[in-house]
Amino acid sequence: MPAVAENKTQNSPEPESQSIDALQVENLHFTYPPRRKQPAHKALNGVSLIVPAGNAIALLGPNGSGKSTLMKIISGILPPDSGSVHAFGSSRIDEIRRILGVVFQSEGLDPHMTVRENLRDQASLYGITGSQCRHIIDEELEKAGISDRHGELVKTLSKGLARRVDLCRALLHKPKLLILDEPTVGLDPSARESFLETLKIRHLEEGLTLLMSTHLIDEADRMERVVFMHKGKIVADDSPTALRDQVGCRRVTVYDGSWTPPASDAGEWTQTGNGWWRPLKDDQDQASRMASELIHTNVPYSIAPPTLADVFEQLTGVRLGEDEPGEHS
Amino acid sequence: MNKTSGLTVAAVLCRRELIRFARQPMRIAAAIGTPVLLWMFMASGFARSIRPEQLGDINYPAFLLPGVMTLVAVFAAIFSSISLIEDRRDGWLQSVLVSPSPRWAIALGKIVGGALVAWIQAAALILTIPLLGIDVAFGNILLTLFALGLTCFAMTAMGIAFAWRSETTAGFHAVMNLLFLPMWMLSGAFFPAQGTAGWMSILMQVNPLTWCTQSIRNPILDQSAAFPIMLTILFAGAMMGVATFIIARPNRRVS
Repeated sequence: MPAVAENKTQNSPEPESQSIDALQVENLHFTYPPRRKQPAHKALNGVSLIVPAGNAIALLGPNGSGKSTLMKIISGILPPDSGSVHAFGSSRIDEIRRILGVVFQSEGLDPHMTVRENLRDQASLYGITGSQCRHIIDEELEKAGISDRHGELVKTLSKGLARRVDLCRALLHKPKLLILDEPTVGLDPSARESFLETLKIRHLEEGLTLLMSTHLIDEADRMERVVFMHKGKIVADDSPTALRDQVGCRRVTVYDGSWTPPASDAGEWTQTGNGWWRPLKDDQDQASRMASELIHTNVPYSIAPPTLADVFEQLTGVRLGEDEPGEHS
Repeated sequence: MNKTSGLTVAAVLCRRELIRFARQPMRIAAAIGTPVLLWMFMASGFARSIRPEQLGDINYPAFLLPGVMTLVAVFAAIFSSISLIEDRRDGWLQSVLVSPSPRWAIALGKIVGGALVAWIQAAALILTIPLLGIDVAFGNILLTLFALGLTCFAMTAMGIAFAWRSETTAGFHAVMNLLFLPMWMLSGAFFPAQGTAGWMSILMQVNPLTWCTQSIRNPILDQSAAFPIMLTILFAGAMMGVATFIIARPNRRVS
């Protein structure tokens, strides 16, 4: 799927108000209290973030980096120790909840009820009842391509279908801002593609602002902006292209921890858990020279454009996929 | 923008509890079957252990009936509380908590829904009165059903107050074993307070479930239920207050 940013067409509606940010998070701090044998854990340490209306932003970081905690504070489930959250200019939690749609890691659906019953009850929580409710549910099911499944019990649906119903649930009250906390966890590749495609369409056609946490590089790469989180802090915030540019045009990776870099450019190399890497400038000669040197040493290596995982590793020293300590789900 | 009515939210959550109950036949069977079995075994097993003068004008099976109704209320409160923990685990509760619904409405909906489910199960036992050889006036039956409703409400509210912070059903089972079942044992449900040891008699008198059992039993015995019903109303109100307070307070631990 091409990047969301590259697909914006002239038909895309402009954000309702360019001057008001969809989300403004200022200097959030949060510490989980000690429990049983776990000590207190500082999950957020001065997080500030601005999400302009109409943007699609990924929060990328390993498990335990504070993404889910940030999502819970934005959605009003957890109170911050200090700091503030404004959505479309409002800091009142009841107003924020009306303009916010939330998709959690696990579906917010009752498995013992049908798709329609779930959506009807959820709509009622937002004051949508009667014929208006029926109309909105039909419309959402149509957009999700699951109109024919409205009478089925949720527990009989596949994980991918249940996730699509969950997206309908989160969008019933027409939120301006949708936050998604690792929404594709547990989905098979085809269901994941389908879910992300639906999300992309809603973003492009309706100007829906998206803030999605993920620990998957390819998901983050599709968004307009990527925010790196590490140990409760934001360590980088830019477009995927700009982030990748930070580590050069290409990157040489040696997959052998016992290999030693040549003394002539040892300072350029960084050791990782199972090998070494170094950035390369936009210079074909340098890449060719490097390749021929490595071929002679007989170590496994690659020369490729950097990924967001490479950028994250350069900034934090942690390879994405490695959990951070003290994680609170 | 639509306005969210707290009472509508409570009604929606209450309806959900009833639909879920109706769709879980094993739950219905367990909820009704267990107390009925207990009633049969205890009524036949303990009948000779209780002196007739302790029971007044009725036989032991009839004495035990209100106690079994109280037990159904306790079991149903436990089921409702466990379903709350499952709601959190499944993610459903989070989708309710991020909505603009007032927290008191969420508390009211869960409690009234759970209490209604409990009341339906316990009230069905009223149908056995003709089999017990006792004559109960229609007005007294209504009073018993009212007292039973209050009991179900109070016990469900208490269960939900405890379950709100429980992260696992295993943790909640500990609460259930340490609190709910001893409360029922000491409620005068299956033996009368007269003739018990002094310490036990005091515990029984201060046990709110004793007031509930008396408020259900007294109309069946054609005795005044005004005072125990008043105490039961106070107990139900207090439990509703505690549950609402706990649900409305932000929880810094719960994920």
